[in-house]
Amino acid sequence: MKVSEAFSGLVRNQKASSAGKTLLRQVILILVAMVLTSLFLLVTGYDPFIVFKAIYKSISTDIGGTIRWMIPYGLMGLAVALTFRMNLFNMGVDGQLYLGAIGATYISMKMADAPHLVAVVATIAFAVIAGALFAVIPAVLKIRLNCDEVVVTILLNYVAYYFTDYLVLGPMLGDGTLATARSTNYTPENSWLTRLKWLGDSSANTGLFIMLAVLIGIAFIFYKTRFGYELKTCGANPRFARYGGINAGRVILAAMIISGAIAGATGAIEVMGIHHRFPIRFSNSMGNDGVVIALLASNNPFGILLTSFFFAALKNGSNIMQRIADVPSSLVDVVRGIIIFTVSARFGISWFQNRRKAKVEKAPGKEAA
Amino acid sequence: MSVASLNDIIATSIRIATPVTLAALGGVFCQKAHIFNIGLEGMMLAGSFAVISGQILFPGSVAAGLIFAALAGLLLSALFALAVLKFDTNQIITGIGINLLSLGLTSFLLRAVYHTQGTLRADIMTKIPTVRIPFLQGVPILGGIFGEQNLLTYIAFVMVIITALLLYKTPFGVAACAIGELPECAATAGIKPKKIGLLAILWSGLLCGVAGTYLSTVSVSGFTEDMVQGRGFTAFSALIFGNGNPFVTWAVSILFGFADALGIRVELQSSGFPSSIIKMFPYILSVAALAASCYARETARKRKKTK
Repeated sequence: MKVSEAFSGLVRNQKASSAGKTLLRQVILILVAMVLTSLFLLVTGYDPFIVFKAIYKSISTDIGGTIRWMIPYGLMGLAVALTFRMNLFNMGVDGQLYLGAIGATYISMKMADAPHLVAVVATIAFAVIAGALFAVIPAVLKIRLNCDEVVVTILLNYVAYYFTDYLVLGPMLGDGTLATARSTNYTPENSWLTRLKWLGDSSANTGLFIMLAVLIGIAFIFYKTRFGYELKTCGANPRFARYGGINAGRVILAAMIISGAIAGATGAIEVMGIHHRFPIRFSNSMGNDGVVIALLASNNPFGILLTSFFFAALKNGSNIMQRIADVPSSLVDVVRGIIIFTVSARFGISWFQNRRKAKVEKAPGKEAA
Repeated sequence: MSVASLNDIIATSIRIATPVTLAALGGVFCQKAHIFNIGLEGMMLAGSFAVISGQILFPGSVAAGLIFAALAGLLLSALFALAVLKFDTNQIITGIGINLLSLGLTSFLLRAVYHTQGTLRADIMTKIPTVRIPFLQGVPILGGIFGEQNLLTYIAFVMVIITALLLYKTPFGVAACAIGELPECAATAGIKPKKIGLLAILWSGLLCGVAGTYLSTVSVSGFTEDMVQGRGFTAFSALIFGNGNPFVTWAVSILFGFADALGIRVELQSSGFPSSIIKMFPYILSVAALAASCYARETARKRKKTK
C-alpha cells in the first residue's frame, strides 16, 4: 500500500493517480506470476530464469515478432474486457474470431480486382458483421431467457470450429498443393495487410494501427460515453442500474455485439495480415489468452496495452525458449493458468485483510498494535 | 428397424455418453449447492492424462491408471475448492483457471516428461475390460443398454444410483440442497456450508477424473492434447437441464451421446454428408437444452409472480 501511495503521489491528478495504482498492480501481478512460473520451472528441473531470458530476447532481438502477437492479443483482450466490465462473460470470442476470419477469407476471394483499400475495408467490415452476428445468439438467450452466457458461448465456440472445419475442408478447400492441403486457397494479394518493414523481418502488419484505434475507441466508450457508464453500473450494481432506468438488456446486446465485432476483426487481421488464407483451426484458443489479458489488466484498456505486450513477448519468447533450453513452448499455457490464479488471489488478499480485521475485533485489547 | 440395429444404436449412444454422464453426475452436488463449477472440463482432461501416466509407471495396471486419474481430478478440484471456499474467488474465473491450468500442465508434461508431441500411448496398454451379460443381449432395448458395455459404463450406471441415494437419502445430500436453496436455514440448522461445499467439489473432481479415463483408454488408446473437446461443458449443460436430478441428467447425457452416435453412423456409412456438420450436433443440442431449461425456469418464475 505504501509503495503504491508513493508511486501515485508522483502525480497530483486524481485520475492519473488511480491509473498509476492500476499500472503498478499489473506490474506486481505480472512479477508474481513470473516468480511462480520460475518456481514451477525449478520444480520440473529447468533453468528457473529461462522465462525472463526468453522475454528479454523476444523484446530485444525480435520486436516485430512480439508486435505480431500483440495485435491479436490486444484486440482479444479488449473484446473480452468490454463484456467483463459489466460482469458479462463473453467466452465465445474464439468462435467469433473464427467466423470473422472465414467471412474475411470468403469476401476477399470475391474482391480480387478491387483497389487495396477497398478490399481491406470490405474484408474487415464483413468479418465484423460475421463476428457480431454470432455474438447475438448468446446475447438474445441471455436477455430473453436469462440463460447463462458462460457455458453458451463456450459451447458455441465448438459450433464455430466445426462449421469452419466444414467450410475449409469442403466448399472452400484449396486446390490441393501442400500449403493448402488443410486450408483455403491463398487470398488475392490486394486484400493483404501491409507488413511493417521498419519492425524488421516479421509478420507485424498494419493491424497494429487497427488495434490501437480500437483501444482508443474502447477507452473513449468506457470513460466518456453514457454507454460506458451504463456498462460499469450494470457490472458494479445491477439493482441500482435497474432503478436508475438503465435497460440492461440493451446494454448486454450492445456489449456482446461490439465484443463480437472486435473478435471478428481480429480474425480478419489474422487471415489478411499473417496467414493470407484460412488454415483449419489456425488460432490456438486465442480467446483464452484474451480472457487472461483482460483479467490481468482489470479491464483497463490502457492496461491491456501493457499486458498484451507482456503476453506477446512471452508467446514469441516461448519459441526461443524451446530452441535454446528445450523448455516446451506450452509453458505459456501453464503461465496462463498461473496468472488466472494470481489474479484471483487478489480476492484472496481481501480475505486475509478481513481475517486480520476479525482477529483484531476478537481481541480488543490488542487493538493498539 | 430391426432389434439388432436398434440395440446397436442404443448401445453406442450409451457407450459414448459414458464420460459426459460421469462428469455430469460429478457436478450434481455442486449444482445443488449452487457452486458454479465449470472446471469439469479441466478435471476430465487431467484424468485422461493421468490414466496413461499411471499405466506407464505401472505397466498394464488398470487399477493404477484409474487411481492416478481419480487423484489428478481430486487434486484439481481441491485447488478449486481452496480458491473458491477459502479465498472467496470468483467461481467462473477460477473454473476457467482450472481449465487453462489443466490444459497447460498436460501439454507441458507431455513434452517435458514424455518428450512427445501430439499423442501419448503406454507401451503396455491394458484396456479397461468390456463386460458381457449374455442372456440380456437378445432382449430389445434392455439388451442394448445392459448387454455388452465397458466396465466404466457399468460404473456410470451404478453411479447414477449412488448419486441419487447420496443426494436424497443422506444428510450430506440434503445439506447440499439446503445450502443451495435456503442458505440461512441451513446455517440455522447447523450445516457447515464450507464443509459440504468442499465435499461436493471433491466429488466432482473424483468423478471427472474417472470420466477422463474413458476418453484416453476406451474411446481411443492414448492421450492427445485438449482431447476433452468441450465434453465438460456438454456435461455441465446436461446438469443444468436436469437441475441436478441425477436421473434427468443421465437421460440428457444419453441424448447427447445419441447425437454423437448418429454422427458416427453417418460417417461410417460414408454417405458423403460432411462429418464436421454432424460433429456440431452435440454442442447445438447442449445449447438448445440450456435454452429450454432457462425457458422453463423463466415461465415458472413469471407464473409465480402473477399469482
